[in-house]
Amino acid sequence: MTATREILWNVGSLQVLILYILLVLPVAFLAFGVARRVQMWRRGQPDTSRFDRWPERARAALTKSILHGRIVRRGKLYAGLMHANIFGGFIILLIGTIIVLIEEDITVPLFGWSFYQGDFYLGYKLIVNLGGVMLIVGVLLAFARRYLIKPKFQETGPDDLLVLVFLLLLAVQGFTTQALRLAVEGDPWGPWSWVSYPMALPLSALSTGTLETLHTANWISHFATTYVLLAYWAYSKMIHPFTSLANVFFRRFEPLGELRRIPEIEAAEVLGYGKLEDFSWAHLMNVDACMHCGRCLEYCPTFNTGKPLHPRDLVLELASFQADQGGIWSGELGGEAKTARHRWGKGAERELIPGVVSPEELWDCTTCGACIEHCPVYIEHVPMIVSMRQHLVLERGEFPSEVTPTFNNLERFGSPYPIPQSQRDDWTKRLAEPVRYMAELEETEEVEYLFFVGCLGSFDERNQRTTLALCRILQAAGVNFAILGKEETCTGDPAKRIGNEYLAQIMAEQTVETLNSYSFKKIVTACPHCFNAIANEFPQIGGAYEVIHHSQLLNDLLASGRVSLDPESAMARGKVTYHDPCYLGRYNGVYDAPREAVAAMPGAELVEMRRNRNRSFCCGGGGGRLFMEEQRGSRINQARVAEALETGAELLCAACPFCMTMFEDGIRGVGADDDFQVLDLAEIVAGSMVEEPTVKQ
Amino acid sequence: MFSTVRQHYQLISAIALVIGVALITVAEMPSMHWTRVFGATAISLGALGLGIYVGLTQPGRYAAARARLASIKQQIGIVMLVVLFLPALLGLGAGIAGLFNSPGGTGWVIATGALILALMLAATVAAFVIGVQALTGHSPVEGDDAA
Ligand code: SF4
Ligand code: SF4
Repeated sequence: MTATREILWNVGSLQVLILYILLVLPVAFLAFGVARRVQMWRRGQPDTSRFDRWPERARAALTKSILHGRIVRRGKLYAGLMHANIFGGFIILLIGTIIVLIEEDITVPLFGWSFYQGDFYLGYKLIVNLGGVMLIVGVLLAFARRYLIKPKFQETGPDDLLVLVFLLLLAVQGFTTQALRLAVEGDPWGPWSWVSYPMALPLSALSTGTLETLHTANWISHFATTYVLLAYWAYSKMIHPFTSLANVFFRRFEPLGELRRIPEIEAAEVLGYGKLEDFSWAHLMNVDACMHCGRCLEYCPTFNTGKPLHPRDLVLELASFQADQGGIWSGELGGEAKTARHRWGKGAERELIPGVVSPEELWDCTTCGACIEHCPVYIEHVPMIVSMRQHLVLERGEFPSEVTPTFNNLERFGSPYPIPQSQRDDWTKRLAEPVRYMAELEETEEVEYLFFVGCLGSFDERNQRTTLALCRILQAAGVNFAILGKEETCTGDPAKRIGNEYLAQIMAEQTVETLNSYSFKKIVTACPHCFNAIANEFPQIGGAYEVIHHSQLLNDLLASGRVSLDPESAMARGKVTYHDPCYLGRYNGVYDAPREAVAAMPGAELVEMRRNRNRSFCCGGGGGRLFMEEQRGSRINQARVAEALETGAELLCAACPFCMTMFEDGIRGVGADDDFQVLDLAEIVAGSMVEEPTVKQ
Repeated sequence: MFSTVRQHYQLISAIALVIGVALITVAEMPSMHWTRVFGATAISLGALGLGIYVGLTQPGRYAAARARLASIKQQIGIVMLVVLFLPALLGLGAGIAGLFNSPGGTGWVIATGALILALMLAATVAAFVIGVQALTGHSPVEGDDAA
């Protein structure tokens, strides 16, 4: 006897007929919802950059999305396994159902060929039972997470629960239906259905009539549940397996730190995002891809300090608005969600800002990139936030009043400070050994390094100390370098992140023009914001340079022995903790060089903060926040300083002038300035060198 | 040709539906089973076509009906939950009842079956309660501090 079973056992013709005819409803509902969503995305602006590198895109979709490469991550094992179980279990059951359909409706009636038997059938039974168990386990893990573990960043709306409820029911109905059949048939291959077989044994004590009735009822309800789920699919978070797959496929390949420029800004009709139609189609798809996981919140400085900006909710606010405009009931089958999706209003007629997204949310962002870095489906929060800022700044002239002087200074003096450009190199007067200027070099001479000092390193008293320290190290190590001096201007980074793209473009073009007039091998800078702009954004306007951060150069000089350290130096003795600047670490992947340099300091013990490397917590100064008041929630810089203090270190090593300013302030704010200090890596290295370089006081 | 297809999209979809229903019906006759796959395909394509057509071109169509449905969504949802859950609950409950009624099989397999039935019943009851709470807006875990 060959192992198999009768498909549609105990199911009448009429039931089958009705089942197939009713298919029209869920499929039409599904198609309507999908069509509406696609129609909404099609309203967006063109973005042709998403249609290149197809093999790479396909690989990313397979590995990062389908195989869960970006979902199951370090520190995310529970959530990752939960999701993998739900997804894997569902896919196994779906394939199982398709196999039965192929046998019943295609191969047997059309070709008289049956494959649903023998070893294949037995293997099928083993695997399909496994799929059902995976689905149930995944759903139970999800319930436990929402009801018992309750991570701080977990948000639960009715839709989240209903989807889980339906999935669990689907698996339970499948097992129950199978067990009821086994109980009646006494199937000799029953044990291969290793979950429903044990369930069938107690059932077999009931009468055949009862079992058959229950079987029919379960069979019908199983299909009805499938139909309900199918109809609900496009209106619930169930859409995310498709939207997130599409999002991963069409993700941008530019460096994380690169913000695109508005082309031909003088003639541009639309500046920034002021309504959904201004978004690129990819960003409109972005917001529908959110799987509500909340990973973007975990390291978000604004969420963690009680500010209104929660990147997930910003995305969901936009998604709900898009659904409102598209006439799609999105995630609203359940009761009124007490979730954050409609914090600022409801309905399709709202103005994007402030009806959907509040200006406070937009201005609170530090552009630290933690949200993008941790989002499993590559949602691009920062480019969207900056584009909405652009609309406020360029179209409406609305921005925090504290930013006005910054814009004015950039326009008048070429830096955010109200100091004439003629004083940009005044710090050099404090150097014992003069520094060389690019303008003074022989035309044929090519320096190894152009030291791009940056505005903070040039004008800010505290950060000038870093600049001086770095110069002294370079001089002591015999590095061939020169500076731009008075010719140097701001890269435009603060203006760009604040949303003044117009001003940012002027600043960037001016800097590129200056840089292009000189000959040098590499650029070195102590400012990660300058580093990011030069490395990732200047190539857009014809400025392609090799740029390194001073931590990388210092580490090289230490490793090659060009800088000799004093073994008796007390500079960094004891515990030292290092803060990863967002624009150096997350945006540009420089994590190891500064750590290796700190670890090389005599007597230094490098201790890590709780949140480090790509999970680092922002200092609060990026995105132009350095020039704004922190009016909402608690202080981001103090939260980070508190974390540094937790390590027991007495010295915090910074590698960014923005971080330096924020931490100086944060240390004073938490009252730790007596026994805790922040120094730039260059200051630590300079202070640990054999001969303490002389500084003119 | 394609523009003609586009012009008559709705009509073609409706025809596909009618043909699909006819083929599915015929499939229930002896030795006509082979028509079922074509019927199901035609129904799916017709439904897809209609859904996409209305979605892309007439999103406002059936708005009143949809609004009416939305206004009673909770009631619909709860009825749906009861109808969908009941057979599974009865099936699992019957299994538990069968334990007390001389079931067949060896001891440990029965014990395993009892355990699975009990766990599944508990999970299903919990899921039902969670579903009702979600539909009525009484879920204890809704929202976060952002709300
Ligand atoms: S960039 Fe940083 S501050 Fe802005 S939303 Fe993302 S995580 Fe939050
Ligand atoms: S935006 Fe990304 S990380 Fe945030 S909740 Fe959505 S999917 Fe998760």
